[in-house]
Amino acid sequence: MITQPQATTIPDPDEERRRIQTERLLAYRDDGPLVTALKGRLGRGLPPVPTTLVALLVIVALAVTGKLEDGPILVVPALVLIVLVLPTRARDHLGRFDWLTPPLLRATEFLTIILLGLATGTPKWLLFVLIYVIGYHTYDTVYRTRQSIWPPAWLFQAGLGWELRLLILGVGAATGLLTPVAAVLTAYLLVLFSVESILSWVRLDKASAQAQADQDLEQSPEDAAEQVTGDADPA
Amino acid sequence: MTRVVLLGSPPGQIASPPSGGRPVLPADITLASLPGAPSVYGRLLGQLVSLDPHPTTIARPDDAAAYRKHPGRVVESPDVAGDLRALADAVEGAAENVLILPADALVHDELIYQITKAKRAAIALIVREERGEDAPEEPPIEEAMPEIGAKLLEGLPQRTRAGRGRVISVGTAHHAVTRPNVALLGPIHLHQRHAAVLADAARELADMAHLFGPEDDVTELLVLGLVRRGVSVGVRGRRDLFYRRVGSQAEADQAAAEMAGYNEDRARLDNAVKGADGFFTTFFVSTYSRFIARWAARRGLTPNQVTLISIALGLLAAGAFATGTRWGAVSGGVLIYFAFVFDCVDGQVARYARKFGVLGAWLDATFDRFKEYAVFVGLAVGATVSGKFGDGEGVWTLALVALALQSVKHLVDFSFGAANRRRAPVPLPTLALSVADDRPLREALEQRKASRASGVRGLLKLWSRAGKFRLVYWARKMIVFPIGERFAAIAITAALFDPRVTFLTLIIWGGVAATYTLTGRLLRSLA
Repeated sequence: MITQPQATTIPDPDEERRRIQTERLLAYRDDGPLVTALKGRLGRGLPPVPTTLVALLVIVALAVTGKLEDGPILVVPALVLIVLVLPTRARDHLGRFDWLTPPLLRATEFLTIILLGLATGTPKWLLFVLIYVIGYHTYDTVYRTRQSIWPPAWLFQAGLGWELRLLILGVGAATGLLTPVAAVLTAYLLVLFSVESILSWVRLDKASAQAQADQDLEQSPEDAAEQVTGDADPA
Repeated sequence: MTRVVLLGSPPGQIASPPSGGRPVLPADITLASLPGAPSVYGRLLGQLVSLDPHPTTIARPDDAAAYRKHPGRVVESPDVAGDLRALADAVEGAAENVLILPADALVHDELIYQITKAKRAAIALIVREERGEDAPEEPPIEEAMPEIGAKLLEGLPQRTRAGRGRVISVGTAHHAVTRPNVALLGPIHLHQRHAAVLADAARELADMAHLFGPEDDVTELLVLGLVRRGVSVGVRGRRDLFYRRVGSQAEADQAAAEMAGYNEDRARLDNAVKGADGFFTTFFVSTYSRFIARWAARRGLTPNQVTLISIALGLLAAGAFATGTRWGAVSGGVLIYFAFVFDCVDGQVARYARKFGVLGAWLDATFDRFKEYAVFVGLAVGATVSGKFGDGEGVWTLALVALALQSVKHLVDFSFGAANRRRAPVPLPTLALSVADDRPLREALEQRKASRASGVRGLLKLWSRAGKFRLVYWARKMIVFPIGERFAAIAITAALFDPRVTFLTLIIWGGVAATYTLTGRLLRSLA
């Protein structure tokens, strides 16, 4: 699902920029094997932002009304999210508000993890590490692609994507086994992401990747704009 | 790498006879006060060697021999038209960025470096007309007529109009400009994607060279060509650095003496501190962090080693918070402050020592997050072991929410940034090179401005203009809860109160920040 952006012929620079930035936006979604497998089979798909928002609101409503206590109901948030958001991958994500999709999706994923943890009394420190590890993967994707170094496609599959992670946690919570399930999942992801990061940096030909090295990876879009326009002398 | 083109024949004065007293060649002017006493041209080649070991110099046939004594390629050209064509040949098909400099330039290394590293795709060095405080108010620009300016700025024709950030219109002996306010100093840096436009415009200008005067410098004509072709040419002044063209030994001696009065190292250090930082970083860190950066760079510390110091301090802070004692909290607050200081220092060392690496940038960013979230863990552990919060699960839940909120907030930044970058810029108006009067260009610019100032865009413009008031500017910077403010909030609330207050502060301030930035970005997406 992540294809290394490669220029075959010399394309229009605007077109090329749009393609690469959209590619990044899609990578930030962190879709896993299930989404990838079903991507081509769901027709036109659903609009990403409204659908993800609806899923988020449904999960919030379940929590607020106290439905999320124990038993099979705990797998419902994951199912709601998967049923609604899985078909959105087919869309091109070129809409003016489509940048909201990755943060909305990640917010819903984190919220679901916290709600499941609260419902089952799972140790919070464990969930903290789990959310940090998932967050690390997202930050890593951002910080690498901002330097035009793309994480390999298999990493997103092996990372299970938001959909399989939530499904595993949801089933674990529904069967009363969230603590061991979360512990195994956390350990697996921790090893996977950290080992892959280290190996990829060891293997990278750093000399060829020096070109844009002086950029600030953490800068917000507004600060970046200010730095460019503020480059001028005051009038 | 960069493709460097040096222009070996300086322009004359306004209305000077074409064969008037020829200036001394920069290859024949000695800079006796500098080590090795190089010639002006030889020094410049030495400064450019890391950019382009074989620069192209365009020179009159009579002068070519003097330039040929130095390394690099010399192209002979009989006149300005020939210069333009030779330049077009030199930059055409460039697969690297292009730097164009007068061969008689006496300039600081750091200024060359800053121009080549500017984030603009095209940038020209300028000097602005200084208007005294008591100068009479000028009538509105709408009433001004285009003129062929006769005023000089440092001996260069003041014939260009520049706005705050870019060149609006360039004048020559043929092209009139409405209210010119700057002179172009000569150096131009261009991204490779504009090289073809430059070559094409230069050839067209060569065909109309008979219209130009002796004072029209090739660099000026090039900027004219770029601007008229709709390229956004950014402007910058020399600021705290030195640049001057020298045409005789006496001028060179005077300029060298003046240049010696500048502190180039200090300018380089100041430039290593990145702009556009938040309030806390600007006033409580950046005021002195550059001196630590210089100290570290001179001791040979690499940016990655400084990052390691920062990580160690961050982990120590987390450990101190984890003790759950008052003293632990206070020392944790101090440690996390210095972890943040060294986090700023690593980037400054990289920029000051010009040691950049993809790995360094990644480590810096990744471990910033690690430090911040490790401190969350320290605080939550401290709350648990102190026993003041029952089993501590309540504080851990707050820590979880703070972590999730901050991660999602960052992802909003990143996603919006990616989506924002794919929007094509609104093109600038173009104007045929042969048109002498720049009013059509001005009118097209006015229309462009008006079409972009309606509805939501007008509102956003108003809001961005409000940034000229210092209070609004800094309040806006603080409300988005940047990293400096976050670290300061953690340090202060943890030292004075308890972890629960810290997490609540992070969640509430972070929530306000998220609401504020989301509103702005939704509006900008709508515009």
